Amino acid sequence: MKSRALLLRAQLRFLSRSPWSTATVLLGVALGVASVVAVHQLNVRVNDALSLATPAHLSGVTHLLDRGNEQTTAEDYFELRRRWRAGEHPGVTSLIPVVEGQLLEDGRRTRVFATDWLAASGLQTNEALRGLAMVGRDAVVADAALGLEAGDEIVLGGLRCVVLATVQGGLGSAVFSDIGTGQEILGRDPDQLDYVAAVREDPLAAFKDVMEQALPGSSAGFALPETWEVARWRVRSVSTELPTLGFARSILFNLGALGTLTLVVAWFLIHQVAVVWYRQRRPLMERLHLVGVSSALLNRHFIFSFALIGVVATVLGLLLGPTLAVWVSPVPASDEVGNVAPWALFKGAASGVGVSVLGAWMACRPMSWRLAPRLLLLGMLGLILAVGLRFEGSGLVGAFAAVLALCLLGVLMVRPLLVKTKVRRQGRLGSLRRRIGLREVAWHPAESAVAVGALGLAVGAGMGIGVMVESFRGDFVRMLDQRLAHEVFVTTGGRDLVAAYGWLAARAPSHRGQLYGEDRLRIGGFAVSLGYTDFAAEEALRYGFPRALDAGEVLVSQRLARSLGVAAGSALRVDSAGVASGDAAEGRSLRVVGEFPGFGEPGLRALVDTATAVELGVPVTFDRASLTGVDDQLLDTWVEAFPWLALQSRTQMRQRALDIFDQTFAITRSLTLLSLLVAAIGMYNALLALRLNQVRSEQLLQALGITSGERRTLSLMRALMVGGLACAVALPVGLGMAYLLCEVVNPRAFGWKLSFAPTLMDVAVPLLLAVAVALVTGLLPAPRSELQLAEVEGV
Amino acid sequence: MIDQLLNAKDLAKSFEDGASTRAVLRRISVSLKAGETLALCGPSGSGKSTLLNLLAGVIAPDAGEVWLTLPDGSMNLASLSEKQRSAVRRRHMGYVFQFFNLVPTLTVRENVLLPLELAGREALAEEALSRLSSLGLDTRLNDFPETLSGGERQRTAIARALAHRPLLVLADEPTGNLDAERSEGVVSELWKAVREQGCALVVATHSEAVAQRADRVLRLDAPPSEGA
Repeated sequence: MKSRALLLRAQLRFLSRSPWSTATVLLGVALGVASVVAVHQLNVRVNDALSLATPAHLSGVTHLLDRGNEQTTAEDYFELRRRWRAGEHPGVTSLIPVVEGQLLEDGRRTRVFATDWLAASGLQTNEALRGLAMVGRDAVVADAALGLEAGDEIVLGGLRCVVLATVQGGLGSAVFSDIGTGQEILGRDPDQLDYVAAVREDPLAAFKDVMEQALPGSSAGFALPETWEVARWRVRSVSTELPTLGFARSILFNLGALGTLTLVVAWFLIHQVAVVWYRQRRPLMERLHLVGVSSALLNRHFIFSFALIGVVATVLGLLLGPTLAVWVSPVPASDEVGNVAPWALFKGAASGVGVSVLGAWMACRPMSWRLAPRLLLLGMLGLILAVGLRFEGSGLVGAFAAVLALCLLGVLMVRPLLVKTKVRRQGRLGSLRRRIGLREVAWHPAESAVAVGALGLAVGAGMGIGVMVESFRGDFVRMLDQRLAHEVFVTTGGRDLVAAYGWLAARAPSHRGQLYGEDRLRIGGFAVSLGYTDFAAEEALRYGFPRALDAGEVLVSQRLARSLGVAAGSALRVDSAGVASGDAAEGRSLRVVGEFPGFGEPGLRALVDTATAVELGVPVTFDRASLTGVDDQLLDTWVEAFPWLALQSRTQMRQRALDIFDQTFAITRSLTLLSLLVAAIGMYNALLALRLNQVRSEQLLQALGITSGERRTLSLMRALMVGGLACAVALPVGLGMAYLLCEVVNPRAFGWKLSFAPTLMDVAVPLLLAVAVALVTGLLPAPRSELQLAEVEGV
Repeated sequence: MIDQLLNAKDLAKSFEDGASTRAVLRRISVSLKAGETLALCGPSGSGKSTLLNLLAGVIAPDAGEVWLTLPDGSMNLASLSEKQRSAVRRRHMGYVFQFFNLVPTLTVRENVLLPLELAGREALAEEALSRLSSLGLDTRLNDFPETLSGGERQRTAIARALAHRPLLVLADEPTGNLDAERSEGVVSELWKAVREQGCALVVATHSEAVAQRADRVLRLDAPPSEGA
């Protein structure tokens, strides 16, 4: 028993005898845990923020039902409800009638959503509405965009209504009311409905709940419940009505996937650190084995000592994680910094302690690197990559599985690359001193693979995400330059601009101006935002179309084209059922003449000339305008005459748009830098292990007359070799990841393709960063105490 | 021919060991003529390796001087900078260790050519490689040390130590990890090569058989430790 205590003491004393290694291992694991906790906290926060964006009347709803080209009536609804009660629609837990429309009063457009509040009350997930008394007659809940407060009054359709509460509905100027009030406001027949909202149980709900807790955002990657058929009714998923919800969940899924990637990278690094440490301690363990200690006992002691590091690092990581989340997050924190979600604690602890123990256990049992299992693994990863890439049906899950497979393929390339480098030993490498420095990396593949793999993966991921963001930014800037052609932009908060514009036009005869209006239509069952303006050639060119739009012609967003499966030359049949634009549009066909990317427009959008809008029966009003050639003094007078006008300069708008863009993607840069920091720590550990392996060899070189300066140069060459190999891994991983994000993930998540156009800078900067990290870690001194320890162990 | 090659006077060296200081060498003097062989004998811890390192200028003494008389003049190694000591070593000295004799990432051929590159005397490459052949290593030129036997490694180390025609060869237990038969072979080859080249040799050894081959023997005793 006593001998065992001594053995354990010998192993534990290794921690204090090599304080620098212990500290860097501790820091590496702690940062890994902190990043796991931070990303989880961040995802929870974004999830909370996005749930507020769900419109109050559709909270918890999964499907929308209507009668297609026929008017949906209260009688239809009650018939549907009767059949449901009779058990015809298993899995449905709620049916809610909805009336939807818009009012145009005093030049202001207000959207009205009315439901049977009693039927919908159990579904309410919006914090502001939870526990609110049933919305009765003459009472509404107002969207915050209307600028009202609870207790205020608003007159809608001649009916004076009390505002019971306000919500961040994300729908602009909108109110939510009981169904009778809505019908009265909109002047509808009491029998007339627009659609029925249904809640259908998701067979994967329990699984998704657990997934959502464990990896926030991941459930968005799973398809909504399967298509549901109801005789004489058209059934649509709620996401067709609420593309913003799908958009928001796609963002969440992307962040969740980034979090999962961080988790996997953190686990990989923790395991690799255990491998390096095991190799550092092997001489001591071999000596103890020679004096009769069993390998099993030595391994147990090693695992115990590494687990000890894991526990301390986990505590540090859990303390650091929430602060890190606040630091890297563009989303304001709604909770206290110290308030960590239980799953974040679990994931942090599992990563810190669990992976430390598992990683140490695996380090004691080096994987046999035989050809057959290696080929099998490579084949499986290749298959995952091919399926995710080629089969659109695999969805976002398939796309991100392909990204992870690509990363793993990159990491698995490292060891064969090192072996290949060693085999090519007669290659021309210049002077013998240079050969020593460069070959040392290939001579110790276990340590080198950690450094190369960690740095290559971090830099590759950084490059991939960076190229995607820069491609996105490039397209975004092109779009801004194309569309923000005028000097001043005018918005009205929903009021009609015609009279005000007439006032200005009379005083500035030489100006150029463009008026814009918006309405909603249903096309092929989808709610589509219809933009209209005078589409002369110059205006059409801003959307990439080379000539003026003729009557009956339409430009569609890529997302709409993708949803409807249409392209230039196709015909679009307008189906106006249940929307305020009136019946005149019903059955009309529009000819698709082009597509535009629709950046930042998560909804489905179509653009027509004003004349076409009039033909469709749209009540044409203009609530936005762009102007050129109006002097500032006249603009000031204009705003004085019409105080509800809001003016923005092109520079302001461009800068604001770019600021919002950069803020949204700031988190990716922070996380990339964090993973690079963790990789740098892993790399320093690996280089230190290499250096400690070389202690005796360095003494020999010293005896041969190699100066300390030349030995430092050797260390630098070693680091440069690692940096070079990391670049060789990072380049295909980074470009492959960027391609997947631009061409596969983005279309599946957002509905449009990004131009995959990596610039030299996008690629060169991460690679130079890799070399810089390699140089800095190569220049960091090896602590004297550990060099002495290695010297003693080497004897 | 330079008569007096090495003259080390009153060398002292001690090492820090935690809170205490351990004296390894106290007032040791050594002198050596060109072509002369000297064996350093003594128990473990008596400072044989430390003395070799002091004579080579790998480490600096706490006290004393190490004078070398070289074709370009006399110099006290102890007063030179680390860079200057390295320059002297790479031009005028050869070293053979007991273990870790060869650079593991260089082939046999490259290990032997390394001192020539360091001394800027690549013209001697053919001569150095022919010595490898005479030592029976002509079939192993492109092999790495990890594939060589213990005897082959030591023979390669001898070839490397003599490749740049040093004036002084220092050998630290060159046969320590070899069996008696291979020991004898390696020692014979070392002595033969040193004689042929006319350089001086200082060899640290536990072996009386090796010591008896030397022209002179210096016996070192383990000094008692003292507190800091």
